[in-house]
Amino acid sequence: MSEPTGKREAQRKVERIRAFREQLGELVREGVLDLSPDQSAKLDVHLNKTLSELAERFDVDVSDSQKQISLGMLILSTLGGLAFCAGVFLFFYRYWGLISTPAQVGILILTPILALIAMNFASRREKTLYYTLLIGLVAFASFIMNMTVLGSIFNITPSQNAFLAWGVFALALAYPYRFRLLLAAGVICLVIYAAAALTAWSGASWVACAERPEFFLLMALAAVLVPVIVRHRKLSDFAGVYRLVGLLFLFAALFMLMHGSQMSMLPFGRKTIQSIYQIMAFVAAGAAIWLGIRHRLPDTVNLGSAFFAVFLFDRLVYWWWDWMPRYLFFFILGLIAVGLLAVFRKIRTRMAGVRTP
Amino acid sequence: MNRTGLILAITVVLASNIFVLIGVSGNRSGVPFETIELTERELTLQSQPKDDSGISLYLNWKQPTTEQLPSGRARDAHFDSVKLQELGVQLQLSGRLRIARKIPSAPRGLRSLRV
Repeated sequence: MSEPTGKREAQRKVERIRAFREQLGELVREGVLDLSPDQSAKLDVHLNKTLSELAERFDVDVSDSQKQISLGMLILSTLGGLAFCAGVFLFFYRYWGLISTPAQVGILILTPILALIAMNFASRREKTLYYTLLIGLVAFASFIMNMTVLGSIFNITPSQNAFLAWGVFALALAYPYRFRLLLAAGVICLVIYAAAALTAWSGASWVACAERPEFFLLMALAAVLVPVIVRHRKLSDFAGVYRLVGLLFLFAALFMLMHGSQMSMLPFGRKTIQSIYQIMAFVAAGAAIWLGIRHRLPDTVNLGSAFFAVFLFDRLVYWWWDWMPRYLFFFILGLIAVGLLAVFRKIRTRMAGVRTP
Repeated sequence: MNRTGLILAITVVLASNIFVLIGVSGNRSGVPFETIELTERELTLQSQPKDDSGISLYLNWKQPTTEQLPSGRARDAHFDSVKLQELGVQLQLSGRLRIARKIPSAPRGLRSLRV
């Protein structure tokens, strides 16, 4: 059995061991399997040793009660983090006007740096990294506040470069600690930066990047391709984050272009552009589902299916809502859902057939 | 803990702040070409929540309403640097300001105007 590289993988291994034990107990009770006391004791020792090693190394939950407490801790740490951030914000809100400008600048620069040092300190003292993630989020939020408030104090022209700094900052925290949330934040910032930079280079204001979804389309594709180009063997969870963030941007950009052909830079007529992006949207969602099934990526399949449904519903409303009686529209919608269910059922049966030798 | 990540993150914070502050110092290094004295008439204090100690100054200007524009859309691009110069405001155009002139939010380019 391969060694887990992270907490999530270790937790999956614990779940497999627990399922194996349950199934084994059932087989013994039914008399299908008859283990000698010596074999049974050896197996128990081995499994207990594996579980305690995993608990020691990755601080995983080996029982249901531990799992429930961990969930409670996660909720508590999130709420605590939010309360802490609100407290810091309101404190400065109360006294900000009484502080001189150099002191304000000093506080803005020092806050993320102190949070980073605290994060490093916390990471050395805990295995679960709950507090480390919490402080990491505070560090990221305070760096965003740093740039935003500094711009506000000195009336600086907003620039897309801030997204580059935020993105690199988030990635610098995400990789050493394996924080997927910060990785997602970093990738979002970098996609926005790249799309905004392309918009600026094309001659428009970078702020207008929201009206140029084609740049987002390119950058989203780049984000999806990152795990293909850069293999994340030790950080297997990270590939999914790049893929999901990239696909979200991709589908959102396609949705915008399906409706707003005036935002496109393609040298075609309005109808042609809309048709191109409508076809592209369905092809992209279908491709995501197909690739997700093929490579066993359930998140990609779910996202692809969700957007396929959104695109389909959107088109059906656009084509039929005005001229069709409402009851007929919903009747056809129900029929399409039944048809899709039949297709998915067929795929599911085929997959079960492939898995069962 | 990977120290490279920590060092990189601190470097990003410091480099970004240095970059911004160099821009600020360059922006404020010029000699003010105009000094405007504002009285209580212009600087009316608005009621503030008890917990807010911040002080902000906003420049408000009037622009044609939707009905006054032939295109039927209000555009603050009419209040660009050319218009400002016509009104007697001497602007030192930087490269960034020239670009800013095309943007609807052109008055943000008033970086060299000190009040």
